[in-house]
Amino acid sequence: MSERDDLIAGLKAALEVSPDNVPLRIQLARAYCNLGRFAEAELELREALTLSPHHPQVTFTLAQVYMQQDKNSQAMVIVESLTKKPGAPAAAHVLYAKLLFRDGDVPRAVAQYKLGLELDPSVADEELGRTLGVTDDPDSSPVVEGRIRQGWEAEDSPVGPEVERPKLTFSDIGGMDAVKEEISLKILYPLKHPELYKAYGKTAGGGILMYGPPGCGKTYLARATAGEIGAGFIAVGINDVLDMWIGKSERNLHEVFEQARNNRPCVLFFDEVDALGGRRSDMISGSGRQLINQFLSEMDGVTSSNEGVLILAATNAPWHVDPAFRRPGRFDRILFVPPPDDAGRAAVLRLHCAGKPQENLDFNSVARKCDQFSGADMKAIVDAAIELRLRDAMKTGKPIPLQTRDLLDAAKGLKPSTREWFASARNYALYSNQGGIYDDVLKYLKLS
Amino acid sequence: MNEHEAIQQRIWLLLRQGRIDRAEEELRLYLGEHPDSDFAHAQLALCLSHMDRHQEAHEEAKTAVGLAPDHPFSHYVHSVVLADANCLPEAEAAIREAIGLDQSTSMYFGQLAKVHLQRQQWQHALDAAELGLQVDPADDDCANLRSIALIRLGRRVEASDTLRGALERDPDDAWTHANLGWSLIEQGRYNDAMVHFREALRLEPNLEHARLGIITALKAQHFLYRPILRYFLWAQKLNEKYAFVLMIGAFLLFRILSGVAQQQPHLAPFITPVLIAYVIFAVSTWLGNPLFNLVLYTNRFGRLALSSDEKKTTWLIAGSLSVGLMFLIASIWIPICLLPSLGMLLATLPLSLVYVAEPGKPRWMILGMGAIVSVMSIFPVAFVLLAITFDQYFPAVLTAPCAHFARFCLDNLSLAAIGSQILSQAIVVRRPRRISM
Repeated sequence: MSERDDLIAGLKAALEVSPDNVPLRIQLARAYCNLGRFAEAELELREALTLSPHHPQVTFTLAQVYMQQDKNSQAMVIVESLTKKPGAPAAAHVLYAKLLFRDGDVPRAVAQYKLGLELDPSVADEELGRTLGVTDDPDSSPVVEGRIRQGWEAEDSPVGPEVERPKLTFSDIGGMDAVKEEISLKILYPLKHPELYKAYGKTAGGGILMYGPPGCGKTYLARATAGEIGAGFIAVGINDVLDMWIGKSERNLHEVFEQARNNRPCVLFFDEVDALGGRRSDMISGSGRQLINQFLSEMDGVTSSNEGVLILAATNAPWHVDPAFRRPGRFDRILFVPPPDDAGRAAVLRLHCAGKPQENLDFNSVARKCDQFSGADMKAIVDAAIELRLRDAMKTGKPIPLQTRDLLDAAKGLKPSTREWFASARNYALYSNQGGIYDDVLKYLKLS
Repeated sequence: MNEHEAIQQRIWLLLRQGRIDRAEEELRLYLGEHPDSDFAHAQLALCLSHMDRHQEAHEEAKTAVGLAPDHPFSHYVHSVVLADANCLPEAEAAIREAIGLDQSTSMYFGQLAKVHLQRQQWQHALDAAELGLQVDPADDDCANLRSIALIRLGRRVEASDTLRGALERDPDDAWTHANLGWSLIEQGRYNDAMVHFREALRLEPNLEHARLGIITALKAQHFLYRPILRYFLWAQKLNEKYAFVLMIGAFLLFRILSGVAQQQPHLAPFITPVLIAYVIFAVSTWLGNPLFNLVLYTNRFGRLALSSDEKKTTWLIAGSLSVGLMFLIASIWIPICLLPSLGMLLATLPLSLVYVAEPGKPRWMILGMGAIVSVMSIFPVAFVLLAITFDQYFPAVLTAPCAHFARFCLDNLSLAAIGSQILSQAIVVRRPRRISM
């Protein structure tokens, strides 16, 4: 028997005599961790947690143990509430930063890490600091506060949109199988088997336009696509491009594409693409049209090749996107991202209820009652239910667990926000369905 | 391009795309930095008016006018906001103010024409649209407004020519296609109209004017609907007040004629067919639309084109008539069931207007009137049947008041039916002012 085993045996014997001794149980859990026996450490810590539910050391160690076991969401829930409490340990912020980074949320990871360092510089994690670009010597790092340097960039150029490295993958998204399959065919397989595609004269790259009601996961899906292939991810919003000075918007757009080309493989994601690539007939000025022309020529790769640059775009109003974007080589796949199905809705509910007091929640039955609800609507249901419970809890002074009935009641009081979108989309699908681009909407609405 | 033009272009695009909430957001951000921009206040007023937030829109429009009383655009926006809020005389005054400041912008004459159309002043609308076209012969809005006024004035061919001219200039204007469709409907060319309505919807799928046109053209395929349609198109040209007077006048004439027929039996053979024809005509104009909507259910495209309110009306009428039919069948064995059968037919008159009225109180009021007519026709029969069948169990204390109420129902049923129809019509055509000045 090794020295460490002796230590564990001794701690266990002591606990038999004093089973309510929380510090002793924490020691035992740490000893298990040192031996890599995380499951046993978790058991001890959970036991300690029943004895002392708000013990900061117990919760923090439990979060560490969860993270070691790749139970990131559980760890995230614990550490999120821990860091919100006043006087949270600096190490908790660092742990939170690690978890956020794993989740692909680089900006928040940077913020948490910096907060941890501010509270106590001794908790610095060299490796994490280097990865996040939060170091004493930022000039020596290729990453600055989560942003990858632009190798080509002139010194006085403005910093463009950030290049992220999302950790999110398709397996993190419940449902949406058809959309995932389409993206795989168009984007993932060509990257995984470039020689095969090359043999047929095809190159990796191109564009996909995702459309659907708001709040149904288009941005999430784009991020997961980048995570799936380990590519960089640049999210471009309207404010990153539009500028009131003539020619500046076109230059901004060019820089965004250049940044993607310099970081290939890279997913370039345009959110609300109809704002940038609206129909030219809807514009009153030539400058708006010039921006579209620039966009089209960048997509065509007229001046530089776009090989390895995958262009994804999302819109709630595909009918407002200039038809020229739909020509081959540009957004040649148009995917409908519908509201989540039953399984997807249950997954969203599960996610939002995690860490909240609850009692035998039947997520599936709630999800079945929420036809056409978007992911954002599902969150609204949880928020409304919690608000009601919280009000009761305030009166009684005791936390009242969420029940299935609460969620069902909250759902009854809400209407799916997707309805308005479908009212418009239905008309486009019925009367303006050229080339069958809205066939999926007709199918979803059971009108075909 | 300066900042003012940049925001103008951006807002224009967002409005064209129908993203009003986004336009509001951007305008409020802009106003945070430029609180004295009359242009931004005016644009915000337009956005708010689009979203039916009339009072807020009016406040913004007033601010814009206050900041730049010599800018015609502010007065123009004020007029649009007032017209949307059904304050038509004030809207006309505001647009005349804009025209007084600037007589070289066709858009202002177009707005004046729109206000006149809303006030059913067809000739004034035509004059205003023509003034707009004198300023800018290529103004398609004015061309469209001119054609609408011409149709209302019965000058259909001229209307078609105007619209064809506009289409030559801009063949992708959905509004022009829809108006041309309506002008073809007026001429009885239903298939040609259908082509233009389809094109309008292809270009602008949310254009309600075109969707209504397609439904009308589809219904006009049935020869029975055509006379009803012709009556509707004719009645549309009447001023609302005249239309109302005509309706009440026809009803009074009906009462007088039926009185004469009773007092002078030798005239009855001549008067009765007239009365029957009147009843058939009146009922068909009231129920024609929902009943022919039911016929559209046999056509896939028609079924899909019907709005949810039209479908609800159709089913409400179908349900009411089905109950009436059941009573009619029952009357073969129990003759007094003829009364509720007739009552359900009369109840369909107000019920056909429930979803034509604005949501909320007006709909409930009309629905209530339909329910009252139904109850008044069913109650006497139900009372008689219950009192006879369960004679020994029927509480004696209720017999007298029930009998009294049944008598009251019988005496006043026809009055209630006609009254409910007139009141329902009044509720439907009433356009309340949506802002307090």
